Amino acid sequence: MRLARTIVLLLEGLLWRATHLRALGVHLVEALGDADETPRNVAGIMLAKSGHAAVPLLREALAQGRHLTHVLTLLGDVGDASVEQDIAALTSDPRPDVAQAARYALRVIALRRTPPYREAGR
Amino acid sequence: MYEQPGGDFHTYMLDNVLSDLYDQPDRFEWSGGYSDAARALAAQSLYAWAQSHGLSDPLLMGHSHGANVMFIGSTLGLDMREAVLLSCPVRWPPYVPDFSRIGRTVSIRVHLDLVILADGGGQRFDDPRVEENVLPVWFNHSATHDPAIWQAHGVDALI
Repeated sequence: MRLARTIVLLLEGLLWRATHLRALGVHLVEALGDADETPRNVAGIMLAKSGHAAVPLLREALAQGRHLTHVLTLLGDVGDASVEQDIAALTSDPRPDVAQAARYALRVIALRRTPPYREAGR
Repeated sequence: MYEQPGGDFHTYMLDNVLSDLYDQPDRFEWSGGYSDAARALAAQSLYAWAQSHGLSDPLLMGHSHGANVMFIGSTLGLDMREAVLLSCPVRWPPYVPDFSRIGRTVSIRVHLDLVILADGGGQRFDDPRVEENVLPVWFNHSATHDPAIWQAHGVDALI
């Protein structure tokens, strides 16, 4: 584990959640491609905790094909109906992991529309 | 266990700790999602996977929120002789298990896990039904599925 990178991402994530400053969010999205599980997870958690604020950055990453499985997973966790079409387009992707992540994201979004998740916002 | 057969940790566990570890390509896996809904869906899938494979009273091992997926699974009716939790974020509620369906619960973690810190979960289970084991390792969320850490600290003996 790269301790310094993880701590920097943790601090950037806290700042991102407080300010929604684009550069910080972009850095977190890029960290979704980190080979090291610990900083990658910290970035994912911080994006997820920022909720809908992360959606524009995640959609950009989706359109550019960056870190697709992680981006799709996060869009399932924080996205809404506005992203379903983009996600659905990837359910038949030739890469099995991408197609599976897309299908799973749609199922998570659908479940999040139902109680108790809808009320809890999670 | 969540890890892909053939991976370092899976191989270590199969060769040294759990000779009956599931090693077929249709292993259980989940998205690793960051929402309660993702974990609830995963728990439903885990329960269905266990049913379809005819597993009765397995030992289940999960890392991070994968361990909470096992806990949710217990509330759906999934029985397990042992639940091994690796670096599991403590979220009670909503992830309180049905202990009547779990024979033994073992938690293995490190000091001040930075991923759990970011996630906002607790690190210590305040319940006598959970056996707490804290390795002499700091910060590293991945350490609990590192074969070198298992060897160095005799983790095999804890489960």
